[in-house]
Amino acid sequence: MIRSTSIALVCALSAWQAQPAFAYIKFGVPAGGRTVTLKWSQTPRYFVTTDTVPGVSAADFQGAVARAFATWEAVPTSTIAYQLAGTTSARPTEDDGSSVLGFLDRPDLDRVLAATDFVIDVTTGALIESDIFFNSAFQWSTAGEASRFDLQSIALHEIGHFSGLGHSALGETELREGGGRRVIAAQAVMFPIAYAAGSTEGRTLKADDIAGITDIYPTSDVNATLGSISGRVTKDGQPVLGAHVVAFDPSDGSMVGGFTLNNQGSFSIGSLSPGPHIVRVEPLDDADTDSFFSATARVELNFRVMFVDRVIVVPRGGDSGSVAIAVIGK
Amino acid sequence: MTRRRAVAALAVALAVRASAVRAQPVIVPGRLEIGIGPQWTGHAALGSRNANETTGAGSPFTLFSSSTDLASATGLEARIGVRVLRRLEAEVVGSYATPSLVIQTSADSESAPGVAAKERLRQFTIHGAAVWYVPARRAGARTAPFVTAGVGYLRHVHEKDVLLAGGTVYEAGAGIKQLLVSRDRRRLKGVGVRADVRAVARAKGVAPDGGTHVSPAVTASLFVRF
Repeated sequence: MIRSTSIALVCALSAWQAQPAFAYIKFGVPAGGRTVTLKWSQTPRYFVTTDTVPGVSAADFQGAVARAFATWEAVPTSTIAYQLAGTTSARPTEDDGSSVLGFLDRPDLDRVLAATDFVIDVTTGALIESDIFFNSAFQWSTAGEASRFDLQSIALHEIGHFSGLGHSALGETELREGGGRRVIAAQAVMFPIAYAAGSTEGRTLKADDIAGITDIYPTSDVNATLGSISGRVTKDGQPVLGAHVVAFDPSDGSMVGGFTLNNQGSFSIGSLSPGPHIVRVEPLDDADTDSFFSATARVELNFRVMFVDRVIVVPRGGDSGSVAIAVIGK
Repeated sequence: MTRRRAVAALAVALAVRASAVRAQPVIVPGRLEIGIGPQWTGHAALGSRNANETTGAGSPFTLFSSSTDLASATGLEARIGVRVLRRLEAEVVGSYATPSLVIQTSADSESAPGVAAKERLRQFTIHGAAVWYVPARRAGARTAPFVTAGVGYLRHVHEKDVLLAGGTVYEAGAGIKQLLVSRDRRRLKGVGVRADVRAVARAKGVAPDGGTHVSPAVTASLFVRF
C-alpha cells in the first residue's frame, strides 16, 4: 500500500468566504493512472478529542458530532456507516492513520469555521484517514444559541467531506460590504458558506446532499429505482467548464445540482427520482469558484441563467439521454 | 324498476327524474356494440410548485416557480358495449392520446427568462362504463340520448417507453346515438354514430401534486351493433 505523504485534499467551511476546495458532489482523485471516486472502502472509524471551548463541553461536542454522523447514516438510499472508536488526545490534523475530530485554535484562518483533510491510498483512491477540525477561534454552541455557530450543522457539512462529498452550489449569496459573502438561502448542507451564527437550519440534509451520498455509497436497489440526467453545456459551440446544472423535480420541489466537470462540457446528475424534471443552468457566481474547482481551472462565468426548454424525463433505473444545452453570454 | 333507478343514479349525477321515466322504446337494436372514433381531451392544470431554498431563519426563499399542465390532445377511443338491461349497457373503453406535459417556469430570482418546457407523453386509459338510455319524448325513432359514467386505469408513458406514472380515470357525461342503418333480422343489426361530452377526472398520473384534475372531453365515433 502506498500512502500519500501529504494531505491530498482540504475542504473548509467558511464563515464568510469560501476557501480552496475541490469540485462538486463527489471528489475524483488520481489513483493508479486514472481518476476514481474518493470513498471509504470500509466502515470509517473515528476518534473525538476531549478538548473543550467556551459553551461546548466534551460531552456536548461528542453528542453533536454523533448526531451529525447519525444524520448521514440515516439516508435510506445510502450504505454509509461510521464507527466511533473512542476519545483521543491526538490533534485532528496529525497524519497518524487515525481519523480525528476536534477543536483547533486557528485564529489565522479568520474565515474558516472548520476543515476536513484526507489521507488517501494513491493506488486505489480509497480513503485511509480523514480529520476534521473546528476552529476554536469562533464561538460555538450545540444548543442553537444566538451569535454562536451551531456545531452540529458545521459537523454535518464536514462529515459530508469526510465521506467523500465536495461542495454543492445550491445556494444564493450576496456580497458583504467588508468583503466576503453572506448566505441568503441554501438548499444543500454541502454549500460552501455557512448560515449566520445562531442558525440551526444546517442540521437537516437536503435532496442534493442525499443524492450525493447515495451516488457514492448506493444501496443495492438504487440503480434500479433511481435515475440520472446527463448532457453537455456549450457556449458559442464551445464546451463550458463549471456550469452549475440543477435538476428540479416538480413533484416534490426537490433540487439536485451538478457541474460540467471536464473539457467536453459534460455533466451527469445521479440519484434522481424518476419522472419529469426541469433543468436550470447558471454560472458559479454565488461563491468563489475555487470552492468547487482547482484554482487553475478555467471556469466559465460569463453566461446567463437559463432553463432548458423541454421537460427532461428521468427513467427509473436509467439515464435521460444526453441533454444538449447551449448557453448565451451575458 | 327500483333497481333500474339505482343503476341510473350511480351512472351519472344527471337530472333524470324518476317520474319522467316512461315506457318508450330504446331505438338501438342488438346486444353487442363496437365503436371507434376520435377523442379530444381538454387541457388540465396539474398544479404548481416553487423551487425553494431555505434561509438561515428557516423560511423559504423561492429560486423560481413552476406550474404544470397537461395540454389538450386529440386521440383515439374504442369501445365494446353489451346490453345488460333494456336501457342499460356496460362498456369497456380504451383510449390513446399523446398530450404534451408542459412545465412553465417563472419568477426566477436571478431573472432567468421563463420557459414553457414541453415533452410529449403517451396516455393510455382503459375503463369500464355504464350507459343509461334516457327516455326522451322529443327524440326521434333513430335517436337515443344517454348518460354515461365510468372508472378505470390511467397510464402515462414517456416516448422512451418509460412509465411515468399510473393513475385512475373517472368519467361522467352525456351524449347521443344516431342510428344510420337498422336491420332487425340480420346479424349486423345497426350502424350509427355517437357523440358525447364528458368530464374526465385524472387522478395521479403525471400530476406533480398527485391530485385529481378535471378536463372536458368530446368524442365522436362510428359504431356497429350485433
